[in-house]
Amino acid sequence: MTTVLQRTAPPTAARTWWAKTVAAARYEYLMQVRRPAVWVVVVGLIALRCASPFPPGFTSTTDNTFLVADWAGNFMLCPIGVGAVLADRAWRESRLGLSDLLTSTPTGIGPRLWGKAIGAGAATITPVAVAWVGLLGYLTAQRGAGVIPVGLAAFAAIILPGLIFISACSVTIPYLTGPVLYRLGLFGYWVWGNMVGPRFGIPTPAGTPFEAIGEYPAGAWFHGTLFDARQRGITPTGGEAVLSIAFLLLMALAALVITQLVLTRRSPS
Amino acid sequence: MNRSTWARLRLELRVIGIAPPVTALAATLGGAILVIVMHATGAGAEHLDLAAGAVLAGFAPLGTAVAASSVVGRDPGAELVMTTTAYRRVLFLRVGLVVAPAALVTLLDAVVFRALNAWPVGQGTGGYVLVWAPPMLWLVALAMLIAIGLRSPAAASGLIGGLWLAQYLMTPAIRDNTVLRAQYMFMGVAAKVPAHEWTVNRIALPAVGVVAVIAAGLLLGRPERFVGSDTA
Repeated sequence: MTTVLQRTAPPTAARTWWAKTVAAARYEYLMQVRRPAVWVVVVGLIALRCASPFPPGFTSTTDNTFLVADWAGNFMLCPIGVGAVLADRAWRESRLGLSDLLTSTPTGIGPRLWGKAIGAGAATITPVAVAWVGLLGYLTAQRGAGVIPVGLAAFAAIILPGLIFISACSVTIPYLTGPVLYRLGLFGYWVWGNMVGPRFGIPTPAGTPFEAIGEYPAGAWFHGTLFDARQRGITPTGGEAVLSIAFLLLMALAALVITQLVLTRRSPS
Repeated sequence: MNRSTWARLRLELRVIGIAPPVTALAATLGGAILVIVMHATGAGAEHLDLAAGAVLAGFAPLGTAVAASSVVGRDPGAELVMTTTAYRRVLFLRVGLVVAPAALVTLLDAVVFRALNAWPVGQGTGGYVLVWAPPMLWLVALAMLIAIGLRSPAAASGLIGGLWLAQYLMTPAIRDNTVLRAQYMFMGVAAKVPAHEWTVNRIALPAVGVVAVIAAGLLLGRPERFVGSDTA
């Protein structure tokens, strides 16, 4: 009995901010990664786009960096799936009537919000990573192990920053809009901000370092095919690629910090 | 319509909440405002025609489908409802309350766009309905089928959003394939579509939509799937 009553970990109130965040992130990760919708949507969208890889003929190239960059471009339908399945996390506790209970715990708003963003975000990105590893396995069988390091670098530089940006927005903005309106806004943003190039005559970040599809890192570091940037007559440099990634990560950070401040001010405790 | 019917509709609207109807109307009204602003600021005729087609055949159906699918799984009293009436009837009524106003406003959009001479190339009077109604029925029906089949509005909105974007991105490949061309929702935007392709497409989209609605109705024959759990 004595053994049972002895705590192996300190009580929640005594833990550090980081330990509470890790605990929340772990729970959110496990909850989200077990949702069938996450896998069906994210893998489904990757398969839908990769069924007809674009641009035609890039798969026959002998340049591995160009190859993985253009495959990464074909993964750029999945961020809208990531955002769609993350959007309902913001109001989940409220919808289930758990808000008061959670507010009464010593965990606090900050660890819960950051835990949700890190855990649920990582869980929703997991199917993307699994699909990318599967693709690298296929390419390695075709072309040898030289594809692996460049493939991992392409994932980190081209795909991941956009996914982190969308994940942060998707667990914060729905606090303001609700998930339904957010999803429609996300689709509209993705089309306007990343797909509708300057030739349509509408002001857009597409083709600038402030787009989220990783065109600048792909063009600058991996010789990837350019679309919207080419319409602007731009060939991205390494500095512009760093700017593009930094912009997405800073916007993600800003979304979370602002949301934490707003939620803390609103909190009755 | 008698008072009890109005009371029932008001009650169902309260259960649905404000978000789905607002989302459905936001897409079609927001698109109309965009076209009117483009017209007022002297945008070129080619861009105006394209924007009008994109709003009618693209954004209005997408917003309506996202909104309609969100109705699934919103009802905390679903089990109680099932004890008194067929849940299928209740859910379809709620979807109708989201779709009908959006369809009406999209029809008004079409009338305004035509009056502004912002009109998809090659479309006549039939375009008032045929440009937007078949893709709207198709997308709403598919969204409902996915949402009900997977018990997940999140999955439905993610998949139909991806399908919508994939149709936009993969237009050349879809237009080259006879089967996929019949399910191409942006046909009303594309210029100079051959008459037989247009006819097949406008029949095939609602036909698949009706099949999806029937399949969704059959899945709702086991409404207990919606009892006692969070959405997937």
